[in-house]
Amino acid sequence: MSTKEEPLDLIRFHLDEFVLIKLRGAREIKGKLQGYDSHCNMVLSEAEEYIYNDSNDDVETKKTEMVFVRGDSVILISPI
Amino acid sequence: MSFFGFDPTAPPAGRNNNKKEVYEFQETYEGLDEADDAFNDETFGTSTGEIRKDFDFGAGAGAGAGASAPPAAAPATASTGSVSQGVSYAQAAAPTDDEFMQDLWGTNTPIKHEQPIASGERKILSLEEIEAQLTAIDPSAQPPQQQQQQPQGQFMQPYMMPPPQFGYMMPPPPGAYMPPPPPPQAYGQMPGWMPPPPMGVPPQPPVGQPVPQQSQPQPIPNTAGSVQPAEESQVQEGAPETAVDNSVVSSSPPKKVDLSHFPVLGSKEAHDAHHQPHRQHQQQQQQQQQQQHQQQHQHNHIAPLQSQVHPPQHTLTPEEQERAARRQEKVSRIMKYSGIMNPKDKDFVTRFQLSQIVTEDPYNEDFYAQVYKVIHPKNDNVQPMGSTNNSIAQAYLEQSGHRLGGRYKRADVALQRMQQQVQKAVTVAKERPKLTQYAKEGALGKISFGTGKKPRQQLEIISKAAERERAGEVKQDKEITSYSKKDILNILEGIITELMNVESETRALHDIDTSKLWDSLKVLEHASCSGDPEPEVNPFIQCLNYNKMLKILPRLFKFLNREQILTITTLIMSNLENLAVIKHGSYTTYANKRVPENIAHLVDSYSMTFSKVLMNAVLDFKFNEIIGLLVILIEHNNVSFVSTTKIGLSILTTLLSRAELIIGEGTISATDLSEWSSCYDELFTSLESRIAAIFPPHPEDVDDGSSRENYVWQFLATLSLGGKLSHQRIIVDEVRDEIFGVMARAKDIDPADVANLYKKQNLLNNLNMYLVVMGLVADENEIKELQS
Repeated sequence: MSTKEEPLDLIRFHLDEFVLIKLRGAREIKGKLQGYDSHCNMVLSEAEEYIYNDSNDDVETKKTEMVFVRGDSVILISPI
Repeated sequence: MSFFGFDPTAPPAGRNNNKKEVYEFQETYEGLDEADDAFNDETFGTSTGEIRKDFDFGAGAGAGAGASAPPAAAPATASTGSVSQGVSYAQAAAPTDDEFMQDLWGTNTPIKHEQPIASGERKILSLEEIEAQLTAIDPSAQPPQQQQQQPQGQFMQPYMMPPPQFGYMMPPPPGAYMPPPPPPQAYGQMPGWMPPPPMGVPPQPPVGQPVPQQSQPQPIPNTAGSVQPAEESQVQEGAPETAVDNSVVSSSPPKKVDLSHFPVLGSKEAHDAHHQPHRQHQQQQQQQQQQQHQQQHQHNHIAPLQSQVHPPQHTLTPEEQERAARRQEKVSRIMKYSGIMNPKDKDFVTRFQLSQIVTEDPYNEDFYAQVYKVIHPKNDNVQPMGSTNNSIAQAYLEQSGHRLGGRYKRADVALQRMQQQVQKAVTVAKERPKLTQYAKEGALGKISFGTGKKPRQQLEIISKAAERERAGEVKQDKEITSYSKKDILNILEGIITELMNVESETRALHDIDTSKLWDSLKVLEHASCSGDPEPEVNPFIQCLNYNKMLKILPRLFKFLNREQILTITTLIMSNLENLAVIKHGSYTTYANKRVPENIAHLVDSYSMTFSKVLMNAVLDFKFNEIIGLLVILIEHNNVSFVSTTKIGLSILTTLLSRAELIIGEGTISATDLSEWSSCYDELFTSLESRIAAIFPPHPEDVDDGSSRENYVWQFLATLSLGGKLSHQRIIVDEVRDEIFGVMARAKDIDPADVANLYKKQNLLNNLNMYLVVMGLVADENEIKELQS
């Protein structure tokens, strides 16, 4: 096993696990990580997107079976 | 012969002269008159008078061909471009790589090309004839061969490499290098020619071409001037005329016109005119001649053209005219760069693209495509073995929408060529250095390579220091006794990587080394047993808490030998309570007596994967090994707790039923049997008085009758089977309520409810699986003795 660790390994370790992704435009998305690449493009399954408005009380959620997240809008990826 | 007039016998200049003399390269060169050398013609295949110093290196390889090829090579280039004239596309591309490279760098002598092409149609030329032909390129003489060749060349001349002063990247003047529309049947063969888009307006002159007498945006002299500013200033008469001439040539498509007497723009006559002032006089004479010819021709051609083009245009409304003009402008924009590449250029590009597609390791780099191919085999297109190249070529043609590919009639030729390309690409890919960087001897820096799959890295982030630190870390690794979640995930990904490596190896070889895979499992790395704090549990056991580990278990066990599997099973038995499915899988630990959803999900995965893998593994175990496993299980775990979980119970069932099957075979020694009965007694003692607890408080969750199996009854059946009558009696006593509960539930299902009737049957069947062991059978009303 290669012990060489790279930053993207943190994402690799969470393949097939649920992750929380913070996106630009006040969006967050939770889902099971199916795949990723070096641009942080990601494919999530069983995804749930949260869209926040100015007023905090109003959170839209959107469920998607499978979704592609383009890497340029990713701010943060965190395991749940 | 002294080369460049240099006297090798003279003593070195630096030693004689005490004062240092600085030589400017340009100056030293200036003094040497290449024209003096008698054999330059032979050496360079051209007269040195034509070699200039304004080489254009900046325009890339393509320009190299254009700029450095001496004018003498022009006929050669032209003839290779003459595919529209009988020579097939494939034939034109036939020259080998060596030739191609030489061509690319302009080092090829024209003779080489002249011969094969010429031999196709004419008698094979003797060396003298070829030489004569070469010298005949001198515009002052027009030898017979040249004239013979001309008619053939009239369509291809526009393909000719532009003279040096055109950077290759410079857009050609609209129409100047435009191939004339060939006769329709030649469309498929013309490499640079795209069939004109369907036009509503009939016979338009080839797009973007300045046709005289038509309302074109740019007047003709401008066209020439915009491209050749240098020339214009030098030779005012020459350029515009040749441009006109060219436009005439190209806009009079199918007519066979005798143009043999005057040059086309970009041919060496025009070229020579500017760069050989001493020939100016001859040239001018010639041009006068040309002018005469031209006037004739203009009359000849423009007349039919007018009759062709104008009548429809007269009837057009201004709107339509505007639209037509716009379309023409658009098409001319598209066509601006067409015909720049010759077939070999295209082959080169194709090969480059193919080399990015071709891979030596299709299963790793092209996994989904391979799987897709397995799932959707193309029955209609069964290829013989070893024709992977063919399939790649085919796929490429389909994918790229290649003009020659697909269903068109020339597909077979294109396919053949593509196969060759693929073959070349494969060999190139194999020869290509595998390193991403390598330092060439004598080079100041490192050369790094990039491929489509692995783009060139801009930064190599890992420094030497970091690597050293890492090496130190590895040593420390062995002392680590607690694992973070990240460590476990790291190990898990390592296992998956190793597994994939091994799997891809098995596709190529039969003997594979699985030791690395075994090492990555870290089964023996850190001993632990049930009840240890979670971070200190053996990493393999911790990995089993992740769904992805379960998914690969069946694949993993294929590569492990019997001892390794036994080791793993032993480890699991001693760590049962460290498994999340056991630890969190018992209803007794929850206030509402229900297992949470995420654990229930994991339990499902276990029964789909782990339980099956274990069942297969146990088949290989010997009797005493199974006893050993059971003893370890009983010693290290709280059996009554384990038995309240689905997975724990099914593990017990698996071991017990296997042991009883072996006993049933009757080949067990007496000592083994006594060992077994003491093991069974121990197990039974730890379960006794808690047997009812194996039934979850919400039986509907476990078995609403919809499934054909019920792990609880299965376990009780197995347990009873191994026990003596006294054991069976105890079991029945403890689960009597459950038995009657099931019967009541079966009775509750309305016989009129046909959709759920099968559930009633399933419930009773599952119950009877247990009762049959004791010679009983139950229906929804009563329990009877089994009639045999």
